[in-house]
Amino acid sequence: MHGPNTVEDEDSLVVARRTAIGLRLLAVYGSCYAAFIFICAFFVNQLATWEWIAIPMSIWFGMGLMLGAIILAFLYGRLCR
Amino acid sequence: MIYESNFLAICVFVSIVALTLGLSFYLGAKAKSSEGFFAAGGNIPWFVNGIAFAGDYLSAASFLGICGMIAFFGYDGFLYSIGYLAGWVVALLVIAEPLKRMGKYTFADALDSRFGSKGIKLVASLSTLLVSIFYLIPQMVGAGALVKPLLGLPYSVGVVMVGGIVTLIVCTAGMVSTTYVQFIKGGLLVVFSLILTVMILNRGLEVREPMSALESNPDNISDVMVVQSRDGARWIDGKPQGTQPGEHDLRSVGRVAELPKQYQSSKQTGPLGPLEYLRVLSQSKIEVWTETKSTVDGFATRTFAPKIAEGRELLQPGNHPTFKGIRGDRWIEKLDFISLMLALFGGTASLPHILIRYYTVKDQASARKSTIVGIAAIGFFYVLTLYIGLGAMVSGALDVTDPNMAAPLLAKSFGSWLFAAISAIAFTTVLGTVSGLIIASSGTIAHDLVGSVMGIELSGDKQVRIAKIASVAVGVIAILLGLLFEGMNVAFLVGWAFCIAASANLPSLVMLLFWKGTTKQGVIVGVLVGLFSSLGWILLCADTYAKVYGLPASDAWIQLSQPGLFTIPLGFLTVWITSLATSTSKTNKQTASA
Repeated sequence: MHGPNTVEDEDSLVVARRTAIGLRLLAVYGSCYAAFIFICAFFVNQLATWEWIAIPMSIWFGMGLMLGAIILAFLYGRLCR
Repeated sequence: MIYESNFLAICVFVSIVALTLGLSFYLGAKAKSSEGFFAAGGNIPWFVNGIAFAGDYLSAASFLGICGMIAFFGYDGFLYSIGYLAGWVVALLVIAEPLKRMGKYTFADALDSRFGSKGIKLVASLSTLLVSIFYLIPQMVGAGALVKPLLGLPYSVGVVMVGGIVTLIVCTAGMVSTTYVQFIKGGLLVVFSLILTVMILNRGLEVREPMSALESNPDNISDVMVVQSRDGARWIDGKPQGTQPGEHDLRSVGRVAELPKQYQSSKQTGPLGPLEYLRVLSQSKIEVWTETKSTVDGFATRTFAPKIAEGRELLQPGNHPTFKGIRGDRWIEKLDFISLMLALFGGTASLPHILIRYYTVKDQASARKSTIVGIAAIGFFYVLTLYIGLGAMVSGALDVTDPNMAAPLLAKSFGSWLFAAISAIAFTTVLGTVSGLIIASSGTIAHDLVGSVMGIELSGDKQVRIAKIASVAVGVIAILLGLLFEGMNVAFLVGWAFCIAASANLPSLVMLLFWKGTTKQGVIVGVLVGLFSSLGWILLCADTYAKVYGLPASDAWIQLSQPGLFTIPLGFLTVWITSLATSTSKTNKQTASA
């Protein structure tokens, strides 16, 4: 789990693949985040009327973004193995 | 409210401080080299580093500020939680591994990795110091404000105590001790927040009758509470604040006024699950308090009045003054909101005291893993803040004059042991974050400014000595700023630190990583333009006029208070245009990737 600080010489193809994965996942998460902000900014009154199982949609969106960030982090970790 | 010092809280606090200091001295031997002092030798296990990320990042603003905001305004505090966590996704997917690959000790190392430029080191240092100071002020003010109600000590003692302890922690073992202090703090914060949340859910919701105003203050004929500042003393409802005869104190507030039909006979729900808690709260009616500021008889007066609100309404954005504009028709207020959320999204990945933590692990894989652990811990904590805030909202323990005390007072409603633990953890949040800021600042002074910009060749030992002197200097500055800003509402400075970091640091860093045409001039001008455009905007905006200068917001040069929406793209544009304009200089152009 730990060891001395090392100078890395990673394969550029591996680095490029990770970068591509990272950017794609960022595009997905960034789009969800932007959509949430857009709804809050311009459709906040409509947001107040939406609910699911008697819990306001604002809570679902917020919780979804939080849990989404955690799941996405683990997914990225797995894809980079 | 009058707070009595809690002996148990003092004991727990002293124990945690003794533990962290003891650990620092024990680890001191490992930090004699510059590699050890600035980057813990790259030997920090990734899991420890991940939790330390949480300890570094979750400041007093996160713990006390967000919980307090949710307790008084509902969902709006949660918007900060969402934004703060979203920034970590950028850090993981874009910054973590390249930064580890490019840098050595400081943020400036990474920016300068291709060029060997004194100019880049200078502007990156300037940005690091400015962002760190913006971040330090609210931490120190928070420390002073906390020590008063929790330990019964004067504000100035709190500021000096925290500044002194943190400086000692950093000086003894640099990044090694800082890491373990942050690890302990991060771990404690998540664990005790979970305990608090479990207790909130187990308590469920119950209808509380309002504490009678007459019962509290026999002379008061209404439910309203009037707080005045008279000659430096606080008066409540026309009497000096206190608990003796002839004095008045504030009532504890926050309650469920009405539960959904199925609970109306019992007036309590019993234990609830996490979703059920939100569902029942959404269908309940909650008593919240509104504040009106005025001048009465020449005295600054704050009038607090109760209002029954629908739970569902409180679980929507737009209740707090900062976010109220999104419910209106004015575009400028909607843009303000978008701008703030953009700054939170981009700011995390450009905060110098967070970025240097990537150098404390051995390789890129560890940087990635530690960020994943950090996201899991921080995300889990932020989910808990919603329950802690809402739990405080209906706990009957709130102090209307101090939202930041919501979480500790909620803990107090469960018992003195939990209050003691939460109070001590509130202090460690300050210790952990301030130590990170001081080591980032001292590192950039010793390594970047003295070593690179001034060109003074230093051995490892001398570099560490200068860093320790710089730590003391930054610690003293932090104490002075904390004393200077006493009583000022400085929570918004954290948001501005994010904005400055996102405007000054992120564009250059991202362009350096993804565009080979980036030149050193592009980086230097990009950082400077991002830094000064965001700072200038902040100094001239409506929020600063009202909250800092005490002038009418309408007099401000700029009505939009959050500059990120404009200054972050401006930073990118500046790096791009300047790089294009200077790319003919072959010496600056890089053909190889970082």
